Amino acid sequence: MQISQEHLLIFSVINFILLIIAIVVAVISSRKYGKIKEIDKEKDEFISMAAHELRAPLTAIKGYLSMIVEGDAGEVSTKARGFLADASAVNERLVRLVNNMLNVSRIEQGRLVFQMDNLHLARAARSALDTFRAEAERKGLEFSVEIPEKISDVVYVDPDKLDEVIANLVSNAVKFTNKGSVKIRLVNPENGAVRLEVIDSGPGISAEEQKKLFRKFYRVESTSGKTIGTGLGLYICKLLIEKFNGKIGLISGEEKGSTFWFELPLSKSELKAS
Amino acid sequence: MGDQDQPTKEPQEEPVAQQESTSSAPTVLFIEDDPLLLKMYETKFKSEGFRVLAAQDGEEGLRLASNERIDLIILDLMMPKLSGLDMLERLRSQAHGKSHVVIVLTNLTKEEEIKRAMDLGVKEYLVKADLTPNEVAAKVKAYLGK
Repeated sequence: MQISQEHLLIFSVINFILLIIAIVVAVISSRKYGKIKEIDKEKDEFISMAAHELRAPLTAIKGYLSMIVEGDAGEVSTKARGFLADASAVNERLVRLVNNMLNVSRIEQGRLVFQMDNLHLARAARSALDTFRAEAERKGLEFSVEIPEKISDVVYVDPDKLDEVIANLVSNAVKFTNKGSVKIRLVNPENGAVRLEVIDSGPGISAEEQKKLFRKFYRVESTSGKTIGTGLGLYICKLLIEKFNGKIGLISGEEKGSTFWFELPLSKSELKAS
Repeated sequence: MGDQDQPTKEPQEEPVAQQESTSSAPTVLFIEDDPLLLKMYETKFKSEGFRVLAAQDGEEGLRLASNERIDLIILDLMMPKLSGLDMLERLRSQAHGKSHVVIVLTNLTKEEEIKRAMDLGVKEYLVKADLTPNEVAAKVKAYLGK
């Protein structure tokens, strides 16, 4: 087929029109992108301010509750102690929620400041046991820690952030388990690492859901058909553990309970000592 | 957290009124603009045997830090008149203000603020909502070797 001048002209015109369309689309989308970035920044600012404002009353509630429990206001009856423990547990849930809201975009953008230090994982595990004991007992759950005597457990992390990871895992286990037990266990799987497991006898999670569990905003449907939470907790756990050069995962099956675990490399000081 | 063994105390009717400052007690300066939180920490620290000085804005805090014998400063960041870090910057520029032990206790967790605080020689950056007053007192005791 011969290409006439007419053909060439039509071809050039079409090309020219396509080029114009491409430029217009590029300009519009870059403007939109700029706008989206601006909105995203405003959203971050808003969340940051709202979370900050929420933290002040939460601090006062937490502080006064703890002081009453510690006996600073006189003797507390057992019944009142139980009520206070419940109030504290709910308040702690709010504190975690606010922390998760603040953390998520900062970790994603690499803007979260870490205060790294050596931490005994066994100590953090026992502390989590103290924090959630009342809530677990209220639900009638057996709640324990299992730490082998000769465990190597010093890890190099941001201790507060790792506490948040453990709290997220234990809080989920207590929340979703209605009978049976929740156990925090420490093991040295291989030289150079320590593993923390949160083992529950809850409803378990299907293989299908397991794949999506650590994704942002993904929420597991509970047995009652309700979805709860913000869908940020496990996503943040994953981001943080990976930041500390570790890995995180779970072993579960429907009706078989769940074991959420993370593994962290032992700190250099621990490796030298052993 | 929760690991610190605190000595059991006799419950006190009014902890604020009791334990009047003694000259040997370690002195902590609280710079905190929320009166409710200030009262809470003051109550706890006094019952733990500290002498407590309090300021509700950065200017007052700077005045007290410059004129009083203080073992440790607990500093909030968002405050009227003079922000916590601006106050600290001024304190650090004074000859005697370089050696003050300072812990930031705030609910603000902006990365720029944390970096600036660390550059100004803050020992620790604590988030209020994450700690009970008892845990804050335990941290302070650790710094003062009490």
